[in-house]
Amino acid sequence: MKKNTPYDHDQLVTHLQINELLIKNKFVHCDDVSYRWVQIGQSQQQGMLVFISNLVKKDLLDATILRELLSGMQGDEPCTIAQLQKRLISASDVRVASKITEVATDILSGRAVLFVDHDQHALSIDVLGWEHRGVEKSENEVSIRGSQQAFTENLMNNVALVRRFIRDTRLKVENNIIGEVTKTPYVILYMAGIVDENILQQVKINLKSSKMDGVFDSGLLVEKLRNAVKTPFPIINRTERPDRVASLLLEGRVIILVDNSPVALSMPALLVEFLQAPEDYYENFWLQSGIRLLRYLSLAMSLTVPSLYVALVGYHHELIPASMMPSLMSQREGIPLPTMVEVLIMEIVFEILREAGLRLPRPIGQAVSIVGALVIGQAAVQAKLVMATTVIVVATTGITSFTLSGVGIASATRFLRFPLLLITGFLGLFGFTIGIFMIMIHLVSLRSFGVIYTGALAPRTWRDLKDSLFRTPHQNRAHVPWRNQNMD
Amino acid sequence: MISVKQLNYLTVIVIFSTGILYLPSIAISQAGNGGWISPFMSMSVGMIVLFIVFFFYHRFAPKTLTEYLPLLVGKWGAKILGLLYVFFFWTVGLKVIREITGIVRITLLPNTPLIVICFMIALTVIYGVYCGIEALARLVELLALILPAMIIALMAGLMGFIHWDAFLPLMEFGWQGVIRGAFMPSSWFGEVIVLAYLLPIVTMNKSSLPRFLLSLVVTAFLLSSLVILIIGVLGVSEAARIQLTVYELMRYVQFGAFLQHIDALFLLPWLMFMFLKALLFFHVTVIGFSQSMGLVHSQFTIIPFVLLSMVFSHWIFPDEFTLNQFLKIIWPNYALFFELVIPIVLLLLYWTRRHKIQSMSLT
Repeated sequence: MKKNTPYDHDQLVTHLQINELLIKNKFVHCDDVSYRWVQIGQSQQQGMLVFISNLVKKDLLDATILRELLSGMQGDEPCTIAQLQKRLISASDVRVASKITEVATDILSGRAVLFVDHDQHALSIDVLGWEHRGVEKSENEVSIRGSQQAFTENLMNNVALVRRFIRDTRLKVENNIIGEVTKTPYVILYMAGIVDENILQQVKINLKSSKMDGVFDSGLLVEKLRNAVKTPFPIINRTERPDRVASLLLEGRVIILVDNSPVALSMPALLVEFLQAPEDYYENFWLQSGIRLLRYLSLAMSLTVPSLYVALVGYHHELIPASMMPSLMSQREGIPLPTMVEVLIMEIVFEILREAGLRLPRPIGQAVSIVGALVIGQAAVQAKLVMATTVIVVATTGITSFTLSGVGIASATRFLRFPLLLITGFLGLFGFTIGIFMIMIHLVSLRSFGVIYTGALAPRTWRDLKDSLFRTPHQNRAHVPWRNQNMD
Repeated sequence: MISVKQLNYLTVIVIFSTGILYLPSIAISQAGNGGWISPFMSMSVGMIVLFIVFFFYHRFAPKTLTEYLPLLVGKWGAKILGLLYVFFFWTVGLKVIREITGIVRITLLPNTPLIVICFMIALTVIYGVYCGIEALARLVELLALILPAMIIALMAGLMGFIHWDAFLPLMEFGWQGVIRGAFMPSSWFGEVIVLAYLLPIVTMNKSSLPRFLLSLVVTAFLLSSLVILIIGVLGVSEAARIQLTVYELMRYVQFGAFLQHIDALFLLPWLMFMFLKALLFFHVTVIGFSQSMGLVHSQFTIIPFVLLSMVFSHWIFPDEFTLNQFLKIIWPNYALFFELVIPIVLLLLYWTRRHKIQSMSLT
C-alpha cells in the first residue's frame, strides 16, 4: 500500500495554500508565530513569510527581506526560490529547505522562512536577534590578573570569545544538537593535532548514545559523559572563563559548550588541574608555587581536620601538647554531647548556613551569615552547648574548602568529610587511617576518559611535577603530562 | 601496566612494613649489638630468590609462575604446586591482617573487640583488590616518599637519646650470632617471590634486575638503621626482651616541648604500608588462584579468601603470644620452604630437563 504512494507526508508541496495549512497544522495554538503575506514585485505571485516575532530582529527582517520582496525583480514572471535566493534576498545566511519538520525547527530557532507559490521549496533566512546578556565579569571564578570576561548564555558568542583567544585554523568547532524535545545546540571544540583522537571519539559516542528529552545546562551532559563512573570526584572539569578554555584547549582537552549555559565542560580532567588557577601562570612563579602548595594543604585540611580533631580529643589525648590540655579539658566540662556528635552537628549546621546563604537574595543572605556567626558561634559556646575549639575547627574547615574555589573538587571533599568523620568517631585514628586509605586507593584507581586521574602525582616524573605541585617558569613547561601516558 | 619504579617501591614497602615488627628483636637477641649487620645477611636470601625469579622470567617471558609450572613439573604437579602457592600467599595475607589487628589492638584501640578491627581491615582489603593492582602500584608511588621521611624523623627525634658506647665491643656475639640473627628475618626478604606473578605485567627494560637488587639493598639499609636506633636508644638487653620494639622506639620521639608522644603519627603511615602489603598478597592469591583454576572473572574470589582469613586468623592465633611464638619459630621455616627451597628445586628441574622444556615452550 505504502509502496505505491509517492506522497511523502513530510514534504512541502507546490501550492502555497496547502503549505500554509501544513505549517499551521504544525503550529496549532502557537500564537507567537507570525504569518506575513506579500505580493512579490509586479507579478501576481504570492509569498508567505513565517517567523516567531520575539525571536527575530524586526528591522533586519524589514530591510533584507520584506523591502526586497515588495520591490521585486524586473518583469512579471513568477520566480522560483532559487532565483530569489540568488538575486533578491540580501541576507548572508540563507538555505533552501523542503521538509516540514526542518522548516518548523528553523522557525523555532529564530529564522524566518519564506514560501512562494509554484515552488515546493522554502527559503530559511537567518534574522536571529533575541535579547541576551552581554559579556560580563566572571563572578564564580574570580581572578585578580588576566582576562575578566565570562561566558554568557549565547552559544555562538561563547565560541567567538574562544576564537578571540586562539586565532588558528586548528581550533575545530563542531555543531550538534541534543535533546529529543528541546533540540538544544551544542558545540564540541578541540585543537586538531593536539587532541587525542580516542578521547574525542569517546566523547562523541557518549553524547550520541545518550537519549535525553531536555538539556537545559551543560551540567546535565556530565552524567552522560562520565559513563557510569561512580565517584564523588569530578572527572570532568568546568569553567566559565574563555581564557581558561583556551589554555585547556592548548593542552589537548575536548571542550563542550551548550546553548543557554554559561559553563563550559572540559575533558579529560586530572586531579592536579583542580588545584591550578589562572593567576598561577600570570604572576611570579616563586610566589605562585607557594600558593599552589597552600592549595594542596587546604585540600588535605578540608578533608581531614574535623576527623583528626575528633580522633585527638576523643581517643588520643597523648598527642595533644601538654600545655594545651588544661584549657581543652576545662572547655570540655559540662558539654553534653560526645565530641564526634558535636562536630557532626556543627558541620551539618555549617552546611545548612552555607546552603541558605547561597539560595537567599543577597540582602537577606548577609542577615543569615550574621545570625550564623553570632548565634551558632558565639552564643552556643557561651551557653556551653559546644566547645569553642569545635567552632574553630568547623570554621577552619569551611574556609579551607573555599580556597578550592567554585570547582567540583571542593564538593567532593565536602561530601567525603562526613563518612570520614563517622568512621573516625567510631574507631579513632585506626578508622581515620582506613578512611584515608580507601579514599586514596579509590582516587588512584580513577580514570577520566582513559587518562589516569592522579596523573602527574601518582605515575609521576620530575617533569610532571613542574606544573602540578609547583609552578616553574614557562620555558620549562613545554609538555603536557598526561599525553605521554599509555592509554589502554 | 605497572612501572619498574612502582614495583621497586613496592618491594621496599612489602619487606620493610612487617619486617620491622620482629626483625629487630630477633636480630638483637641473636647477634647482640652486631644486630645491625643481620639485615644485610638476610638480604642475600632475597637476592638469590630474585635471581631465580628473573632467570625463569627471561626463559618464559609473559608467563607467571603458575603458568610456567606445567613446563617444569607436568600438568598435575603444576596444579597441585600452583594451589600450594596460592595457599602460601593467602597465609601471608592472613598473617599480615593478624599483625595489623595485633598492632592496632596494642597501640590504638586496646578495648575494641578483635573481630571489629579485623572486619574493617577485611573491608579495606576487599575494596582495594576490587580497585585493581594498578591502583595499588600507584598508591605505593604516592606514599613511597613517606617511608624515608619517617626514618629521618625517627632519627632526628632520637638523636639525643643514642648511647654510642652500646655498640662497643663491635659484634659482641661474633659472626655466628650475626648469621643466626639473619636466618629467620630472611623469610621477609624471600617474599620477593611474588615478583614471579608481577613481572609479566610490568613494562621492563634491560636495567631492571640491578634496580630490584638496589631496592633490596635500600630495604636492608633502612632496617639496619632502625636496628642501630633501637640498640642505641633501648640497649641490647631491653630490646631483646620487649615486643613491638619499633613502637617502643616511636614513643621516645619528641621535638621540643610541643610535639611529644607522637607515636600515633608514625603508626598512621606504617598501618597504610601494612595495608598495602596485605592488598598485594591477596591480589597475588587471586591471580594465582584464577590462573591455576582457569577462571576468567576472578575478582569476586577475593571475598571468600578475605573472609576465610578473618576466621582463620582468630582460630589459629587467639592471642598475641601464640602469634609471636608462631612467627618466630614456625613461620621462617614454612615461608622459606616456598620462597627458597621450591624455587631452587624448580631451577634444578629446569637444568636437568632444559632441552625438553625449550622444545616444549617453543611449540
